[in-house]
Amino acid sequence: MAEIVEAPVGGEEATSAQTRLPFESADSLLVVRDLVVHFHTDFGVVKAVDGVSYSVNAGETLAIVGESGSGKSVNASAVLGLVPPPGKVHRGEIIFQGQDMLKLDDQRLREIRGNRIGMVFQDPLTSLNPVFSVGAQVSEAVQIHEGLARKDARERATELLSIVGIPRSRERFDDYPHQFSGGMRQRVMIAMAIAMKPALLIADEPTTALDVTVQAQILDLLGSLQQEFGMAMILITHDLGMVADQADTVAVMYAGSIVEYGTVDDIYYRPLMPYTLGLMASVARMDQARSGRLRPIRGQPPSLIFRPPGCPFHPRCDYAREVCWQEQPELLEYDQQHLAACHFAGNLPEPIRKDEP
Amino acid sequence: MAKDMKRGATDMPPVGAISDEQVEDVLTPDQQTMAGTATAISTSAGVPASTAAGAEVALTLWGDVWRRLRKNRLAIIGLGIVGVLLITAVFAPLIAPYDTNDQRIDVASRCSGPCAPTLKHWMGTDQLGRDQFSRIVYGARVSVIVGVFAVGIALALGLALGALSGYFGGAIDALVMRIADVFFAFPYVLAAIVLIIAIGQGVGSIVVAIGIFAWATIARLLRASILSTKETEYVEAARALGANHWRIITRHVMPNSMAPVIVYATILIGSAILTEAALSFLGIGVVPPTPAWGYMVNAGKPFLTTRPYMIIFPGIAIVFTVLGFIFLGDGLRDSMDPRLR
Amino acid sequence: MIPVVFGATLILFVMLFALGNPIDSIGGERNLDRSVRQTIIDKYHLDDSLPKQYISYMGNLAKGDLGESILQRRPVKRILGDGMPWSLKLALTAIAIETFFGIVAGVISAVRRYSFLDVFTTIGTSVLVAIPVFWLGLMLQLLFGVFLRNTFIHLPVSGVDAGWRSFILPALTLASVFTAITARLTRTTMLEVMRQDYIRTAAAKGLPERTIVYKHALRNAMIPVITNIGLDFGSLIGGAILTETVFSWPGIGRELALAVLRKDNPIVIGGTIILIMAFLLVNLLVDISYGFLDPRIRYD
Repeated sequence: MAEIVEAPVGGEEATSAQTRLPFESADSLLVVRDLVVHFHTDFGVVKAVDGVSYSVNAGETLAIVGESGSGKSVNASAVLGLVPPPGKVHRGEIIFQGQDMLKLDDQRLREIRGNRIGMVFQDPLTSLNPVFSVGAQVSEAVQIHEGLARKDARERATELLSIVGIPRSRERFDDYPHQFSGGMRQRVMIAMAIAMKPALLIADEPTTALDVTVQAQILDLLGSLQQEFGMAMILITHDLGMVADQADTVAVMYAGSIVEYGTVDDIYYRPLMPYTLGLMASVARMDQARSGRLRPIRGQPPSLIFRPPGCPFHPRCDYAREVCWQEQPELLEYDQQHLAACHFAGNLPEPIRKDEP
Repeated sequence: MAKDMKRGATDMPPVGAISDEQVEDVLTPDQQTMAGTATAISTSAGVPASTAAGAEVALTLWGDVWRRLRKNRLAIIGLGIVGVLLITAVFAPLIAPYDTNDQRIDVASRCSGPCAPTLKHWMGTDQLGRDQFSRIVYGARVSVIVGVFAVGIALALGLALGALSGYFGGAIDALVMRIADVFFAFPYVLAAIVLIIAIGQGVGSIVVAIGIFAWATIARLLRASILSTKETEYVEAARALGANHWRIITRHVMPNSMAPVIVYATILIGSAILTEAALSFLGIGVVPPTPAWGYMVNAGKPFLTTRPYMIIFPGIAIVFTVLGFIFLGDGLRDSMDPRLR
Repeated sequence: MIPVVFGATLILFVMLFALGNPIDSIGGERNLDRSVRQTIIDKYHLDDSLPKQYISYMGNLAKGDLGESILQRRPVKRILGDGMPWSLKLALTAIAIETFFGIVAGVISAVRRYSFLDVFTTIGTSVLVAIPVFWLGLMLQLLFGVFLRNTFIHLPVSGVDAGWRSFILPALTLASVFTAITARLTRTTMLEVMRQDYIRTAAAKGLPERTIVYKHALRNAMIPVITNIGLDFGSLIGGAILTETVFSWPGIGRELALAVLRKDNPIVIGGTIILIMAFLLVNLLVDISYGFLDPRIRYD
């Protein structure tokens, strides 16, 4: 057993991710270290986020990828201090522009929310208040932080609505969310999120609830707004294929932890961890024509209360050996700026299942 | 049957099998039904939603409801009050120390009207020298009769029409719901007043009035509940197996749609008792000399300033009785749907 | 709305004319002499078939003819007309109390969930619902009229002669149950609304908790609460009959209760019809206001 653990391939000395994060620099806008979020429920403690560390540089995009239940959304809510009850941030630090968000009082936190960090949610229908007009909801975002007069706020909100591509924004200002299509509603959400030209935009599955045809438009919009305002972005998604063009770095989450972390090219072309391989195999790729049929990852994400022992992915892993259910692999740097949590990272043995690799 | 289907799934892992198995293996049956709660959390916290729970509920619903009800202090208080009420009503002759119509002119004249509480008559006597405590004990009978029969009629009508409406839908549904609208427009007290004019004063009129005007709410509740139950997989499965309408309604749909109706019916008993008390207070409820709490309050009205206990004691009896049904109903609701807590 | 009016009057008609003996219904238990009897039979076409009777009954109703009181020898319309303003004022005061205190208690209860105030409100509202209206009225009379007779918080316990002070006890009595119901409904709805995604959106915008609760959540929670205040109007009528009786309030409810006891049936029938019409009218108003509260309905 010892010999298997001993020599991660890639030759580099494995460094702890705790001290200095791989992409952390003086330029880092957001640095999250060892974040732990627990939900205390009737059945036990749900470890939704279990020691996650990452960083986002100004103007760049980090994609956090994982299945539903991997903790990626909770992780994002934690950045804004919006973990829903009964969730609680148990440990860790979230350094945004040099301040630890977890140590700020409510007042200071509110000054950052919607102002320096904007957030776009998954379902634009339920995320917009049904009893207020879209214009009023966008104006509110401007008013609260700038203290604009009502008329000026209206003007600014109208402008924002046209920036995000809502046609006839002046006329549609007083319309209600239910009068908009899904894609248009998401544009309204985006208008609210970017109202204050935030330094960081968190987009939590911004296209999941939308029609496939609209998804690309929304992604393009986010991309161009990012360019225009020089925003950094955290793009949370379950669809690895979707983020290829947008992301600079990618963190793959599984069962509340990051299992692979690297540049978008490393993750796409040189994945180290079987789960990432599985994710890659389950998306349609435009750059590899007819590479075979799409293969879903078998099984379901594990319970976050009763985590499998050892590597949380082992029950679903085609390559799992004894060590995998005995010891939990650490997230270690195998290549320059390419981390993975796998006993066999970069050196996968023969798959045990008969499926083609 | 749901159980078999799930076991079958073990051999074919893809859909939902792993999380279900895990939940089932680790949780006690009690916690399994609670998995309904977990589903609510799962969207944010990432607990895999368990579909097994829904299928398990039917088997263990009542056991679970009772287990949760036991832990609810108010519900147990409610249950206790209802128990005391029933015992009092059934064993009234054994509990009451005096005959309720035992008029004692000598007692009344000694006190020049109602007597204050004494050791012999610890709730006092009324203006005719009758023992108040005994009359309150017997008054429980009227309350129980009104509560049980009025709600019985309402349930019989409401369940039948609600089931028809919810299960068959279409024109039947539209017709029943329009009729329900009409009955819904009558306040119980007014309805009872009109019926009393038509068929005369008495417990029967009150029971019938509440019964035939309360069914509309029950029918609506059951209908709504059925509409959501109807689409579940186990009903689909029963239909696919060729079960007929009657069997599907009585065996599959009704048991799973009853929760809101049971909660409402429990609270309705309390409100029927209140309505009876109100009518008796107005002097158009039970016919004297039958002892009824509302009537006793009415009789005490002239003595409000001098002998207020004539009003206080029967009033407290009403408040506690109704409170018992409310606590029990609330407790049942919380036990049947933990998310509403 | 219209079918409900017809249905409701039909039920009334069936109960009064088909179940009971119509002449006894109209005349009460007094023996009517032959000519009066004949007049009544002619007037209500009691010789005709039931459907025809119903039509003429509705015809009279449409003309506003509610008949004449047997004891007071005055038109029922006049008697009820005199009571109407007093009943209306009392009901509106009670609704105002109910809406204000019910919503405030419910919101506090929801926002400070599981706090002492929440538990207090939950148990307090159960007790309020369980207290019979007439008994609460009598207890308030006992407290403010008897025990506190010689203090400055002494309050009038009957009639309407003391101006606004006369309103306090009857309005509180009438509002009690509905305040409790409104508080409970507000609490449940608020808790439900606070779980919605748009509340999280509001928080992500940087809004203070006060704005989130009192603007975004409350506005949504009000939709079912206001609707229910309308639906409860029916029970409010029942409560008004009792409250007016206890406090000798010169409204329709007390007139109705007295008439039932005295078997002055034209007043009973007329009063019942008026009250049911009022109930239906209020529900219509609620339906309309629903559109103002919920934009999704407005445009559908």
